[in-house]
Amino acid sequence: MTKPPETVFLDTDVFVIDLRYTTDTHFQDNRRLLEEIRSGKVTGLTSIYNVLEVCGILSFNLGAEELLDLYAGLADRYSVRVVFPGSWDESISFSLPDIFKQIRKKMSFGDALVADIVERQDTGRIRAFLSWSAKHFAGKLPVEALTPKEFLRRQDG
Amino acid sequence: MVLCPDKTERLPFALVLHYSRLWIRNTIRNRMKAQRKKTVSLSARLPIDLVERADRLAREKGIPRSELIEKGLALLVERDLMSEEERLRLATQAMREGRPAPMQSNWSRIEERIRETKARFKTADEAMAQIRKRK
Repeated sequence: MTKPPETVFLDTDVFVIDLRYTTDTHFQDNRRLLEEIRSGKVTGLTSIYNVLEVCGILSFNLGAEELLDLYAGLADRYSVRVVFPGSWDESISFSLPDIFKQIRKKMSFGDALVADIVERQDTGRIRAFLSWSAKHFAGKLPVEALTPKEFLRRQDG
Repeated sequence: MVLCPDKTERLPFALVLHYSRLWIRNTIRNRMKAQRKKTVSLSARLPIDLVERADRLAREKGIPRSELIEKGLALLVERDLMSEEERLRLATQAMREGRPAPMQSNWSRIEERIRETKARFKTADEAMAQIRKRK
């Protein structure tokens, strides 16, 4: 019986490196991870916060039309599912006590938002949180925080 | 045999049937013609490589080039007419429901713009540090 694909939660920098920093030393490993997701070998999740962060970083380079295209098309482009906090009523809200709980773990506000949404998922299904700044999340998430390179190495091994 | 209107001569039933069928067929055809979209012919000068790419795409999709151009133009006009807020709402809804985005993103344009412009942050690390306010 074939093993079901593992699910990983992707941080913002994975998309940013692929789109903007193509000379980054991590680019090849990063692209390999994204190809694994695109081909269905690995299932990718990310959050609406991460999508908005990618848009924020690239907003300095894109016009209004392209920015909207980036927002609308990122999930399809990378074959990832985007998760949201709470119910959808055209606003994105978070629970203050939950975010404060993350901040108490020594996290910046942005990291706390992402950590909170990871925690809200069925973490039993998520193999790892993948970020090139995994060190900022080490020991602070209910799932393992790995760099894409570490994850790929484990996949290979 | 069927009586003619003046009731003086009779026409064979098969002939009446034949003309009736013709009348029904022509009426349907004319109605369909009227319902069909009115079209105009346009001529435009387009870059050869764009036309070649369009032809390739049309072949892949198994549709005529004119239909591809019509669909592309309709998409462009539709996008332009829809407000940014509406597009944002529809895209978010699709994302939330795990459906493909309702509008096709122009990725070649996004990539071109990224290539053409200078990065706001020197490295991805710097971008992340700034956006997450880590430093």
